[in-house]
Amino acid sequence: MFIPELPPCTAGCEPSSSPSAPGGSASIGASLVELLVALGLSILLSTALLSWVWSYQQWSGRLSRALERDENLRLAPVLLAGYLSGAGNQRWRHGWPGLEWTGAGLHVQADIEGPNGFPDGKLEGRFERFWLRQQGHQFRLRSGRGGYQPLLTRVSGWAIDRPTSQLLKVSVQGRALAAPGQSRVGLDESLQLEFFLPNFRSSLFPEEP
Amino acid sequence: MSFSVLTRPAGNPGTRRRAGFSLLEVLIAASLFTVAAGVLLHELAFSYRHYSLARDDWKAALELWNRAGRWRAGGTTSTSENAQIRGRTAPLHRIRFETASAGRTLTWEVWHVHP
Repeated sequence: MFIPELPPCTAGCEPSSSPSAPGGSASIGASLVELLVALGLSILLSTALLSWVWSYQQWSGRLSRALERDENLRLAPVLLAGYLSGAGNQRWRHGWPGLEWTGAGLHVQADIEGPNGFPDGKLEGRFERFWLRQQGHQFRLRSGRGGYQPLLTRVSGWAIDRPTSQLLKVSVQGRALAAPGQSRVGLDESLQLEFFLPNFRSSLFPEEP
Repeated sequence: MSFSVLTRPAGNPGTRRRAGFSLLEVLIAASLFTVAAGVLLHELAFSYRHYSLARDDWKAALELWNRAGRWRAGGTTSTSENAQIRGRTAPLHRIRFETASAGRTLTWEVWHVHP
């Protein structure tokens, strides 16, 4: 059996911290006071570090959630204006009102297209007859015989007011997600949008006598 | 044996090095962490400032949007100008709406045919 030979010990290979005889040099490890001081300092530094990381996460999380909420809300005026601007088109030829608020949602009718590219007196084209309503935290739209599709998200409520026949006020309440245990203060946002309805003017054709 | 608080104790030649960090290493690490934390906080404050500016501008634009809608729905007002482009049948009106946002003035010029 081969047993490797250990290298010869030099002068410096002796353990420098070996226990010495009473009255000799330093002993192994730290003293109790050193340990307590080190523990206290570690706790202080860890607490400071963790509180900083926690506050940083809170602030960056709030910013992220506010941005997400606003990304949705900023689409509201553009999307709603696109859908609502044609409301009531050609209604003077038919019996439907063009805009109906039923409490559960908004019913919009607009004869805006037909087979030849002109209004045909029927509400069968895309977005000629649609419903808007809130379901859960989503704002949904249903066109014709289709199903409800999400239009906006993070919406906690909405309301309709029509002070004049040509002006439609839409109030939308946006709601951001909140982390568990986090305050919701400043995370909710309310929008007041006013839409001009050109098809509900008193006289659509002023050139005609 | 000589001992310095700024350098790692070397011990005797040929012996293994002592465990742990020297004071200089700890100071360098703490300085780097402080700089990194400061940069992160500065970036977060920078993001908030830009978010606030964009939010103020968006609110100002919404206010102008609503004022334009009310003006178009309410007919001509004394503050609008009759551009007289289409003659007597359908006068074209022009109006300027202004609002302040973050120390700046946001202006919209709205044109509308009032029957």
